[in-house]
Amino acid sequence: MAEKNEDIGFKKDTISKLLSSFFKEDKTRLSGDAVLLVAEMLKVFVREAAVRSQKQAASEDCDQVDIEHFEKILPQLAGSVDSQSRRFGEALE
Amino acid sequence: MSDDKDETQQMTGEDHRRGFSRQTVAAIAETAFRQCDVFAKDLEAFARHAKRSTVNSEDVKLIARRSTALSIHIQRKTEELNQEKKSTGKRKSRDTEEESKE
Repeated sequence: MAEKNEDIGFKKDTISKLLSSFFKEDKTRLSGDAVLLVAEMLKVFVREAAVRSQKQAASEDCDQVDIEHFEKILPQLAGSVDSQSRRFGEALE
Repeated sequence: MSDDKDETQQMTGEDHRRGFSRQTVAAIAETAFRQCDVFAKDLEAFARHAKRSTVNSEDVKLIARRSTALSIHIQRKTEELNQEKKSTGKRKSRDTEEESKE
């Protein structure tokens, strides 16, 4: 599973343009490394969202992952990037 | 970006034999997009605080600081990137200052 995870990710260009579009100041730039690391963070973020949603669906005995499963795990997911949390790592194992 | 998202969803779905509804895929994509805004604002603030106009890997490490697992993962990734540079003999300055706001 680890090898498959390595191939899929966000393109450097996409992240670069995306972040730049959100900067408040024109002069703010991004180093190549920073772009790659943010791409990595987003990849993990999306994977966490997917894995947690699946576990939620599984716990409710559903065959498909529906939006309500995602909505249930979203508060903790959003909070895990902003608060003390060791649990943000289900997708990293 | 949506292609990468669909592939990720498909891949993860296969492992647990559970597909994602299209609505869910869209919602996750939307949330990731919004998270980018949060990251960008924080990164810009950290760089400015350090009196830099270029966001670097130290700034990214700071936004990952609140989750132990994520911090470790990003730290490891940083080391990987540094290792690659050493082995290919790339000059670090080549990558900086190249990205710019369009």
